[in-house]
Amino acid sequence: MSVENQSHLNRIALVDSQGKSMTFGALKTSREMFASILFRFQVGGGCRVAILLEKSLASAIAIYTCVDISAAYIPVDVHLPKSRIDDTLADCNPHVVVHNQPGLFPDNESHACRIPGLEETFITVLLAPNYREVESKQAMPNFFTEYVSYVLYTSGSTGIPKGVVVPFDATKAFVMWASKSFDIVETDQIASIAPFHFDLSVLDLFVARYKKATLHLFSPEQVRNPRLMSEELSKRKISTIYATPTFYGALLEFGKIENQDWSYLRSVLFAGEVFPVKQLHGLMSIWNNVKFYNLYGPTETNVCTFTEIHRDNDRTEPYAIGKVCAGHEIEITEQGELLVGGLHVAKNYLNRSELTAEKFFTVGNTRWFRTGDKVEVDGTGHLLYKGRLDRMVKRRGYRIEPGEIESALHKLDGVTGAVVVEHRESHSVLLAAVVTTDGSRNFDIVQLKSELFQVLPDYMLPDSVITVNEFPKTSSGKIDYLKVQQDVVSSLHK
Amino acid sequence: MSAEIKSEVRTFLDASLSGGASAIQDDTKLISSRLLDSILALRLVTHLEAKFNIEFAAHEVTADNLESINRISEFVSSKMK
Repeated sequence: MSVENQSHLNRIALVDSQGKSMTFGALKTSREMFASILFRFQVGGGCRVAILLEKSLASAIAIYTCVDISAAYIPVDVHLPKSRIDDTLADCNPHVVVHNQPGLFPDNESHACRIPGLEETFITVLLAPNYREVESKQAMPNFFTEYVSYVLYTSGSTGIPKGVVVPFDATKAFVMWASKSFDIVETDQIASIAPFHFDLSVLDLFVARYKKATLHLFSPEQVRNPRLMSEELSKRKISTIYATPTFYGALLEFGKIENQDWSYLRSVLFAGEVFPVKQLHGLMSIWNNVKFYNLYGPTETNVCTFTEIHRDNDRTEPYAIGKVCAGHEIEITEQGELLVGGLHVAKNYLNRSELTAEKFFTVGNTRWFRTGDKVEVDGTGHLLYKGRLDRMVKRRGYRIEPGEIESALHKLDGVTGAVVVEHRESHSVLLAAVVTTDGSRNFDIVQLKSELFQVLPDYMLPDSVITVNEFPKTSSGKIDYLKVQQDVVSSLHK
Repeated sequence: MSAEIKSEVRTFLDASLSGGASAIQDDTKLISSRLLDSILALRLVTHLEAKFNIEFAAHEVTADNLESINRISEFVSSKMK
């Protein structure tokens, strides 16, 4: 072992949304002390730690500490409806939940503790081995048998979110790859835009830590306010940003970015959805000394293809998603589906052996994933994204299974059938709920949204509701989703 | 003035929510209920700025100032003074 270079300890590791900062030295102390607190509750390698905290210095420290002690961290969005938080916790059955709401789990043993360095923050570590009797408990090992760095939950077509289990080796390979590919150095100021339950945050958190760069955490409220973000990103001399096209689009449209100084900005990375070319070109005209990169990959593979975007003013179709990352292979099936194998690929879905067997497979020592995305290869060997094989929708970078919204609609009084389809309005992806009813009530979007918001995250809420007598069917008697979509578009533009 | 602002907001909501705005009262929560998503809220801000010749400062584009038709009307009126 070589002696670790200590020169970074006095530099800034983290800055929170309000500008409060922490050095690498203080972060190291906090991590060590938080690790010792977790050990006191027998939390160590192979354990699962749910993190139910706002994006903050405390949640970043908790995540880093989990990785230090080889426990899996499971970030749970505190803004989700309570029932969805409960379902997620029941599914992942964590050994402890780190949260800051005393009395949240009255039936469990709770301990208040302080994360050192954050004097005003009290964290309750909750012993939760009996959080809920999980049906599949016997089938689920109490501890992960290989080191898992995190489990991220994503929309499930049957109405229940599914946890993607990402092993430590995959995260490590990804972080090394990203650090090198985007030439991250210790003087970089990296913006953390994505919430920690969204996989874009993996790059932010761990590349910054690996390269000893400074990470700036932005809260969801800030991220929703492009004018504020424009000022903050410029003021904090941010050099690297990784976010969704939705974020950049809002920055361009509402952020007045032409009024700010961007001389420190050098890399703009985007992923999660297609970037409309007009908006991308608009951004490139203002950030004209900046490198733009398109990154592609579902949570199950993390980034598996990427490319630097070279502006082509004649281009009207979206830019390519790039070429496969080093250490990966791809196959394209006859239906055009992209299969990806390699170092960054996840291991399985938690507690879902059938779905895992359907989507993941192993060849030799290589893990492979069936993405469900259709692709084509262009003349230069770059992959072009051509849509989905199934009905999954991408919105604001989030994956949405329409089946999950339909399942929530079915549970509402008066609904006898429900179909959710996407449609586009300029640069926005909109969701329309088409329902059949028993006639006992009328549905308006205001009422529908307020009912669904009790059970669904906000990005899944429909934008309009249409009541029909029956759904159009295909010749084989199945619901004709394409026809439903066409009907929606013509009915909304009447 | 407040009637004019409210009517402007209503027209905007009607166009944005596919005619669903009739169920919205002056005190109906727009942001915390997620009736308006963040992009729609920003379009509304841009629209009000152009219409009433005002400017929201960055820190004023908040859920609080946009939470209901009443709140929007109060805030826009205060900017016009």
